[in-house]
Amino acid sequence: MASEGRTERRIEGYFAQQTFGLGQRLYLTGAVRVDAASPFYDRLNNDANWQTYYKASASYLLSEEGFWKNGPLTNYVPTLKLRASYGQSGNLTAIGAYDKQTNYVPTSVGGLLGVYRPAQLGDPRLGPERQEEVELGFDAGFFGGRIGLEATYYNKKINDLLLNRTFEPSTGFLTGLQNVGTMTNQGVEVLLRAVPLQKEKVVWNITATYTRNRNEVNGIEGNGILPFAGGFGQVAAVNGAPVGVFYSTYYARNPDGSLLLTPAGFPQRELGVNGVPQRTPEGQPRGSVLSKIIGDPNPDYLASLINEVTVAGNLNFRLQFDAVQGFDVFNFTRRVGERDLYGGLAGYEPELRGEVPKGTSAVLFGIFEEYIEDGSYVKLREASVSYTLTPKFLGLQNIRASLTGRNLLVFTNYSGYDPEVNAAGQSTVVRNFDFVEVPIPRTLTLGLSATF
Amino acid sequence: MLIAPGCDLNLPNPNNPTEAEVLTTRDGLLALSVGMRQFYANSALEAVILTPGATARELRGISTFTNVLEVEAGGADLPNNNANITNLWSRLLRVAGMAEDLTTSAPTVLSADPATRDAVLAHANLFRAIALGTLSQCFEQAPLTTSRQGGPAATFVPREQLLSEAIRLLDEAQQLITATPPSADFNTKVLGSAFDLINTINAYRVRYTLQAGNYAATLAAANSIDLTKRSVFQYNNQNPNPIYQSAVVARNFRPRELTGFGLPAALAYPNDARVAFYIGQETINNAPQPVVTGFFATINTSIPAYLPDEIRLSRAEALVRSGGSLAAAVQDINAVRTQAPGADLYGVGANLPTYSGPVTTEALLLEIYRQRSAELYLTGLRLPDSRRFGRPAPPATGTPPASAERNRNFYPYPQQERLTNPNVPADPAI
Repeated sequence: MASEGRTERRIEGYFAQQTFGLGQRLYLTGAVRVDAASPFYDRLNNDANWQTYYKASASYLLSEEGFWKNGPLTNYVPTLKLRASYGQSGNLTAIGAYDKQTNYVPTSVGGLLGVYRPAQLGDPRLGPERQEEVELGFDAGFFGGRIGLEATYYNKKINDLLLNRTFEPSTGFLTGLQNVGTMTNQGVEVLLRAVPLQKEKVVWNITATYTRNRNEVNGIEGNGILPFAGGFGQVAAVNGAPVGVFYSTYYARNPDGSLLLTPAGFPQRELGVNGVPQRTPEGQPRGSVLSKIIGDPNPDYLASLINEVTVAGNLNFRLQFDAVQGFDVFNFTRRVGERDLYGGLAGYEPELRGEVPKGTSAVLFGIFEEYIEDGSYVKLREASVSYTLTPKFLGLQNIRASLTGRNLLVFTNYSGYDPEVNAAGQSTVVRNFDFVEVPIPRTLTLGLSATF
Repeated sequence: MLIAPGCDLNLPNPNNPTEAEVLTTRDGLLALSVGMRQFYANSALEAVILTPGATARELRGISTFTNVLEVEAGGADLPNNNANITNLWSRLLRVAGMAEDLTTSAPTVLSADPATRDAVLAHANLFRAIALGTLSQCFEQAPLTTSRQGGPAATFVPREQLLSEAIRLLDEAQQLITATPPSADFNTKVLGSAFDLINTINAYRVRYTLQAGNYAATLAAANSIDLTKRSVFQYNNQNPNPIYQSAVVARNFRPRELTGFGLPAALAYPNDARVAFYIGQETINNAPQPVVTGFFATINTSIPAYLPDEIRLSRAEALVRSGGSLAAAVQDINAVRTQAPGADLYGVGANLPTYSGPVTTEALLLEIYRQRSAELYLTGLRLPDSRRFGRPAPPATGTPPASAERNRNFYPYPQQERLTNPNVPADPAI
């Protein structure tokens, strides 16, 4: 059924920026910009339409100072640059062009034209997210430039996060964008470059990176829990926790941590009142189904290691490892596959063989904690070899032949195919959700490129 | 800095009217009246007919979607994050919310046109009553009014209060349009030719006063209905018949058997001509399988807002339960039993012989249950009827057997409601 929709978004902005260089050593930059965008237009409060953002940065080449260049330090640390910056910015991507309004849906039946309420509530008070970031870092070169180290510490605070939250249906709406809460991201990024071997015939480069980020959401009113639309009902923002945590049902346990079984011997969900588990006189759970944070898709750190060897200027070998450690994956594939109704995966076999009581998979289906797994992995991301020829015919500058393998090996304890998949694609809030996703393929590429 | 005469950033939405436009203009309120009814017919009615239909064993859930399988199994373990139950809850509350907006806005926006204003109010009352009444059929408690985001969370009241509010709304609606007939503009723009407002209002008065036990009111309302008038929800390709979509196209549900309406064998009448109306057959792997037809046969088949025979059976039940004339009740029962399909307004005729059983309160009530189960098949009424007629309840633990007449008494409250509303009461045990 064909239909037409039109979306128009207008953005207007002005900025001014100035950089000063002092004595070839100290560079200072300052800028200011003002922006307005139609999705946030506020007819009643015109002052609120224009957002002002400031930024300032400085970089200082300490190694150019007289005392450094002329002293012994320059032999060990020939280059040292210190960096610092502060910036403000806004974010526009989370909001549709007309989301400030509650947009009624047209319908037409039997010759009668009608409109009905949408599921998404608009809010005329919506404004852009504002973020402030402070960054400190240095770039250093050692041993005549054979070793380079870049390190940065950053601290970013975002106010008025724009999130599409689910409402209780008794509001008459199901979802709505709101500026709720704050988020902080702080962390370090480190890059190390080294050339262990630099001879005429052989050059060996190593590049290593390490990134660590800590994220925290705060300022959500009410009970401090904000479920996400599109999160399959299992993802929420919770005060004090990183964004995107998995928030769902969990096992009822005894005080010593062992599972509290039903009289029939099955595990069960925890029940209680207002987040506190309750017990009947017989010791069984009582109350409504409880949910809590059961997993966190945010990794503890990311790292990668690249080794590159060039022989005789023509033959080039490259090996890259990526590691992402300390995060959880929600293995929905296993949840569906181990259920007696669909029963396709090996995890269902113990029930078929009678090793666990019949009905276990049906019970576990509702206990989402069961399906949170550690997805930490190290992947052989790329291994490649290439050869460059410089033939003197056809006006060619060079021909390069290469054989590249990507995603060749993965070292992980995750039970699914690939801990790197996400059913929600590029979403920032719903991550590491494995719901029958096709794993990232292992590829082998043979390439030939010619430059004339 | 120069203030450049930049672009105009106030961009109106060319695709949809905003809430401000809808609720402050006459055309907006009339369009919302139509839209509210259409939303009920397309979205709410799907949940209202299919989910309690499977729970009360009119239908069998056959697709392997988890929510269909959970509703089909029912029992004490029915999870509160089941999507079918969440849809039932949320769609009815959205209808109620739209009706509340109309009730608040019509007196001011339509103050100059009492005939249209009263018609809009009566129409909104009808659908708010339907929302509250249907919630009371499926849940032990529910909010009486929706509460906008940003205000305090909605509070819950027991279902008896929902029913009495529904009855009050319908009584008020009936008085409004009896005192002031709807304007011609309202009739053309909102009702069209297919929806009969006054008779539908009275039909729901019959339904809810009967469920509440006000039998005198049931009899009075039943006698004021013109049983020859049709009142239907219409569908087209853009707004398809939702039961057709779900049961015939998507194959989520089938009637339980080829005959019998899902009743226990002892209760179903053989040679009931209504079977041929409601239940069709399709051959799969050389075996006949039942498929819904009747009011759900094609993508644009209309669904009646009420059936005339519901009025007759409700009148009979009110007479029997209030100690009225059993003979008059038998007359109504026989009118339903002996009706030929061609003689019925919608083609639903039983072609059964007259009632020949004992004329006692108990026996007549059972007969009325048997007739309602057939006549009112797939109207969402089997679940409250099963409770009201004291049919056997499902066991409080474990999965109810296939022979159980219903697999829940009431539904648990959806997890989406409980997550951010602290006022949600405890889930019913079964």
